Amino acid sequence: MAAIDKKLAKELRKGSADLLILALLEERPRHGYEIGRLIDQRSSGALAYHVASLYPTLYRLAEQGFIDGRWVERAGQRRRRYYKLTARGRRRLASERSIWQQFFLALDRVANFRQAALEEG
Amino acid sequence: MDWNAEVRAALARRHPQVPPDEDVVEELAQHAETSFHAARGEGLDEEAAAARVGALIAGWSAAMPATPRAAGRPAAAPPPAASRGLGGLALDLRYALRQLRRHPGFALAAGATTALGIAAATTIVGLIWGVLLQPLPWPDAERLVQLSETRQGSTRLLPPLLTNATYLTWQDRHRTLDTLAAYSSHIVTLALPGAEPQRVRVVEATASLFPLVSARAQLGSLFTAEEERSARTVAVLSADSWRRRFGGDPGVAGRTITLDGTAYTVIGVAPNGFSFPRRDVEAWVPLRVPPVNTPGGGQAVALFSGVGRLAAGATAVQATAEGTTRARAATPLGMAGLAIFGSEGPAAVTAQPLLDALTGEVRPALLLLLAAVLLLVATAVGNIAGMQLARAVARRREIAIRAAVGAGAGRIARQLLVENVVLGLLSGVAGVGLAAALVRLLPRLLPRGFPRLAEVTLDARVAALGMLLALVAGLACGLFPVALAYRTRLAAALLGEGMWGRRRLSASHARSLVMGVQVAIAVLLLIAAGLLARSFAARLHADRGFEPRHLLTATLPMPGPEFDGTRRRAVVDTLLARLRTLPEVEEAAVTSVLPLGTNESVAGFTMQSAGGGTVQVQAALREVTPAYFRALGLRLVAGRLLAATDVAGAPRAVVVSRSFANTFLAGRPLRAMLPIDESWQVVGVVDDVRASAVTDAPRPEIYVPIAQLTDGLEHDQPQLVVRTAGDPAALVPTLRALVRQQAPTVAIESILTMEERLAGSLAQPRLYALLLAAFAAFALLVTAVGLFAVLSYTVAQRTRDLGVRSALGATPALLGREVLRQCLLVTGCGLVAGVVPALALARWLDSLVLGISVRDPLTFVGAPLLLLLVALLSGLLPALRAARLDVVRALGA
Repeated sequence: MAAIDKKLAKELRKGSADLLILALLEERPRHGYEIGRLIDQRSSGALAYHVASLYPTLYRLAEQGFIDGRWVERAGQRRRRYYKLTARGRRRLASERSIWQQFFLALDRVANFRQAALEEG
Repeated sequence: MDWNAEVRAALARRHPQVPPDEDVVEELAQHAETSFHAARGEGLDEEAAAARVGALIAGWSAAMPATPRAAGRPAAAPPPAASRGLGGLALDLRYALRQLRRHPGFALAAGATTALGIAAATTIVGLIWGVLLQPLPWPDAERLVQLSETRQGSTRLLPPLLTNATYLTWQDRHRTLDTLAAYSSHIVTLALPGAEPQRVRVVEATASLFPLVSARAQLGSLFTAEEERSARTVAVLSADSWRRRFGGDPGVAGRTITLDGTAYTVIGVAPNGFSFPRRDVEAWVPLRVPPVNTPGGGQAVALFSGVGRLAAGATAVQATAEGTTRARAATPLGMAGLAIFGSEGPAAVTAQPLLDALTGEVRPALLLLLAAVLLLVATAVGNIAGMQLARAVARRREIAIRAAVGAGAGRIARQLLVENVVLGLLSGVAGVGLAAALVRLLPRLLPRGFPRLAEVTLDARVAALGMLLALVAGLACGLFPVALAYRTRLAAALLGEGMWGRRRLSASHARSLVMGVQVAIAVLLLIAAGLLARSFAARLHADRGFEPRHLLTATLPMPGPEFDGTRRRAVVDTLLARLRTLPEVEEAAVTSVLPLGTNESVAGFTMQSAGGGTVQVQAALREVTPAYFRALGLRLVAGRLLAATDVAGAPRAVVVSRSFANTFLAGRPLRAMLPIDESWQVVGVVDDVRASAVTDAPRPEIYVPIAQLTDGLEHDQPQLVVRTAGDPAALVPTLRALVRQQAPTVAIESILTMEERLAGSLAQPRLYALLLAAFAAFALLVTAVGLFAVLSYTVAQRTRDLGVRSALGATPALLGREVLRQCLLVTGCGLVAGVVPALALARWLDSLVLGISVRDPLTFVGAPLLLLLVALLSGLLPALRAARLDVVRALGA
């Protein structure tokens, strides 16, 4: 049972991290550091998200075609890699969001589980 | 701290067998750096901040999968699609225009230099096209040949002419020609009822001239062979003359015009736009070619121009052979032939393509100008290439960065080329526009008598050639920076000055090479200009045996039958008497032939030579009034001048020229008897007069007093010579009034000061000298600017080097001298590279350089010296800058 819980928690965490990143990129393209900082701020640590896994997540999402990373040069700045939501990512965000909302609604009904950072979306 | 290195090391520790993706490294390193600064911002000390970031990096490397780069995702974004193919060209064009806008000074300097060069080149090319290459304005013009004859061993430089003997024998049964015509061009007095008499050009021509150039009458008819044989006084008007003088009257046929006092009946009007042999012909009248043997047993010799149209498939060489054979079978001209040609050798006929014949005289000059102007463009291109080179070095960071973000060397090369081609084409448009204006000014700029000027226009082909030249110039200007872009080790360029030693050296070598070539071109042009200018000066100031200053000359046309010899003498005597009463007139005289005039007369006779045999004499004959010698300022060598006492009844007296005395009278001329027609005694010798080219051998001359001629003044165009105390031109109104009053039927013409005649005869050499001088001055300026730029650039580039050496004890003077030494080295090499070919090429100029040697020492020493002086002046400022170098600032630079 503990193992199952652990696995669920991991899946939940992973799913929520994906959801968070997609949600943050919905507003506008952001670079890695910014994404990490925002997740930190907005989840208030509730999702126990470690910044170490941020980049592998970004690369995986990009590989799956949900986001797109591009080096951008701005006057007077170092070039940075900006990530933006692809059309595919937008659809994924919409469906994830509805699944999670139903999940949280169910949880809420069962255990009064608090929605953490999902209003951010 | 080098976060890239930290990240790279951490990732390598985690997956030693897979080299980390540099994009990932860069992204993570940026994150690390930002986190480090954030930690410091939170108040952590450096060590603590570094530790926190170290942990972050460790976490990343632990979480990072072994394949650090996602498949299908390139490390760097490819250049936007717009930069490939034709879309990329548009981008390059926009970029090029932006570059030009951002550096307006450079664009203007380079553009103006190229535009001037292109304008000069296009004008000359237009001139060459219009004059030398464009077909003549008659159908089958390439088959037209000018026919001229001479005698083997002839000593005369005669204009191309044909004798009646040759024409008549060749007129029938010609194989190589399908038509043969003779013509002769004259200026005559045209009198129309109710209009002032006017001097106009009328051409006497055989009837065959019209079929030869496929001309048909647009009104009435052209004259026929029958009208030619019966010497009928009929005239064909030019279309222009018909419109101007007769208002285009359709009933003009049958009307009468008076030419030199003879009435001619107009029978037709030539087609619109037709003229032959030149544009200003007002009318054509029949030319009757007289038989050589006259009924009375005498001989008649007629001289005229000959023109033929080659039969289909025949060549000018074949026509030459046929003409020569036929001429040798013609009736011999005897004494008259000797007088004309200066030889009794066998006849030789030449058929020369008419185009070559008309333009041959100006061909060498035009080709010289073309060569000069192309050299000029080359030297201008050299300067721009030099400027581009300096800019390319200054732009090396930009180029390196563009290479770093994915632009290949080919792409950068294309960009640089596009920049230069855009500049070249913009200059081309300006240059061709300027050339169009210049071409329109040509008739005013070029000397009178320059062939085919009216046919010179800037047509599309010439303009296209100008643009092509501009394109080539642009490409050439761009090649230098492009070669540099290829050679630049781009990464090294990014690292800055320190890595530049080797490359900087080669760039400065390239510029020195360009400079050397420019110096060579400049000295070449200077030498050519110097030779032409010195030749012109030599011809202008040469001793011609007479004094050209304060002389007014004019022609007094007195054509028969209105005037006969006696009448002419009476008019001339009255006029001279009246002129002598004027205070401003020092002397007034009349002659049949004037130095630098347009007519000539020759005497040929046989006389006893000093050794007892006979000698055949050919000499120029001048019928003069006694005051002629004083008026012209001829120098008496021996005996006496003609005097007022040499009149009818007195012993016939003549004066001969020095070369006559030496050639025919063995240096003992006085009292010699000359059997010209009657027997004339030589009473004096005057110095030779060199009328046309001062380099020509002086010709033997005989001066005969008009007062002793049986028939009076036979010459129908006597020349008036007036020596004045002051400005001769001031006398012109008085002279005109006097002629109007004393001889109202004489249409006085060609009123010119002798200096004007001299200038007119030298107008072409003067123009060529001026043009080449302008080209050389331009090349000199370009070279001076180029030298200054290259030396300043070297000083700037070597500032640190010079500073270090100065700090090590080199004196400023030494540094300055070193800059000057570089200047002299480049100039010296360029001078050698210019003067040596100039010495070899000078012989090509021998038809243009008269009166001095084509290897004139003054020019060959003076031109390099002038260039050296200019080079030293250009090098002075950079040298001073090097000498005054602030050591501290140079080291800090």
